[in-house]
Amino acid sequence: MDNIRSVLFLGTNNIRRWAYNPKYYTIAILAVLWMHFIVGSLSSFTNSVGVNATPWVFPFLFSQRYTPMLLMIGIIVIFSDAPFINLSTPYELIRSGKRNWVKAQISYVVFTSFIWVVFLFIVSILCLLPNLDFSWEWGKVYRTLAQTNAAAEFSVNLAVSYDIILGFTPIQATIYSFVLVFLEMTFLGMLIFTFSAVFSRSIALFTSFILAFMPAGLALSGMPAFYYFTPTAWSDLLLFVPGNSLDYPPLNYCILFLTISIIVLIIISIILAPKKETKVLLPV
Amino acid sequence: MCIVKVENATKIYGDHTVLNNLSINFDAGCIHGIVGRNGSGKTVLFKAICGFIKLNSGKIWINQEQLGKKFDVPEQVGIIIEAPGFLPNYSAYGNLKLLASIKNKISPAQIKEAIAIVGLDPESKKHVGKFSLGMRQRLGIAQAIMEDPQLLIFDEPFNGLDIAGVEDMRKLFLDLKKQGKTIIMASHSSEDVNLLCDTVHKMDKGQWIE
Repeated sequence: MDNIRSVLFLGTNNIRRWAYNPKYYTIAILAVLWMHFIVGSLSSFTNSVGVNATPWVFPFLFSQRYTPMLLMIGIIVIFSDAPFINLSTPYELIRSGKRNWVKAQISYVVFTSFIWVVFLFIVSILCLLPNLDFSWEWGKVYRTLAQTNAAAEFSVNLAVSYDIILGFTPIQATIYSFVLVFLEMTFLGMLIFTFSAVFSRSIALFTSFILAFMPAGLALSGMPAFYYFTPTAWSDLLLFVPGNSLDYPPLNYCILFLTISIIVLIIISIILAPKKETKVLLPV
Repeated sequence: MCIVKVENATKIYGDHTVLNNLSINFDAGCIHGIVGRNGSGKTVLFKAICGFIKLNSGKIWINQEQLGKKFDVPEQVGIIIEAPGFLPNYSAYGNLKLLASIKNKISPAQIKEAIAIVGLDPESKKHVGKFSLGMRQRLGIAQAIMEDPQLLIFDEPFNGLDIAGVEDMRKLFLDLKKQGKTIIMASHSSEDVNLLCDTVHKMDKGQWIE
């Protein structure tokens, strides 16, 4: 019990350091600006038609061409300090032991991924203000944008897919998106942490950037089978639309793959990272 | 009784041998001094004793337990190795509270006592970011002693301290010795070492020298 408390406490210690590193503010501000560019552009349409949007914009964000890639680059920059060894680390390690310290960093990766997804979800809703109405339905705004050329006429930057509206209820789509994005971010975070701890920070960042850029390449390749090996592309709900004739990976496969990969990376970290030297690295 | 035993410790970085087949026993209840130039291997030896680095060969025992077998870092050790990375927007107490919360073995009163022992004000709300180098060093010593460890490893503990500060810390180290603590310290200053230490070891190029 003491170990769990100590691990969770150490994990949150890293979050306390966010206040002293401008990169966290910068990433958050850039994410807000990008979301405002995409979601905020709905206001021209909602103002014109006099109908407010419902809060369920989050699932559509990950069907945009560049948004998933940019948000993933954000999380890569957030985790670019991995394996999170700074000048405080020796003083934490001597009190916690190496294995507990590694577990704490893993918990930090999971916390941070969760916070990042919650942050994006909240910002997506805030960007709709003041043209926001609550409803359990998709609402007229998204349906109209999906079925007409209103988006082009009103310079709306959000591409709304009618397949998502037909295939999922708003709650379903939001939960699936939330879970998939959280798992993707955690997967990327664990990959960066494990590779940084076991190999080097440069290998970790190079690999994660390749993974973040892969979905853009896949879209151009037009080969659905490649999606089976690109976990960073799985936040797009269009892949899982019921009755999709293309050979995209099923939702269960993606969730299972990401979960198992995260568990494997956690096990590798817990076994190998404590055996590595505690070398203080410069903050990024 | 020997509290730390280092046997044939060798550490090589690239083609540079930092510790060269080094052996030593540190007896409990004494102050042991290690002197040597920058790069002589003092800090690497301390890091090896703390389990932060892996030796290429050799073994280290702390309290008769081999490092890396039952435990990966020694328990009951207080350290100052490199400048402690305190959070600049927290007070002295706030910073030590964060570190103490990892083990959760001492009370707020004990944390405050450690801060007072090194000559800082435990009730002060002043942020560590506004501390002088000497005050940070005092706080570093407070974090090392606050959990009442039996073994203290201090790498250049008097760095940044003014004359009064050095004098205070010398007294503190002698008090700690009286309480039965073992201190292993590295220093550039032969005066500190000669005044405080029961044993003095000179190091150069990862080896003991006469």
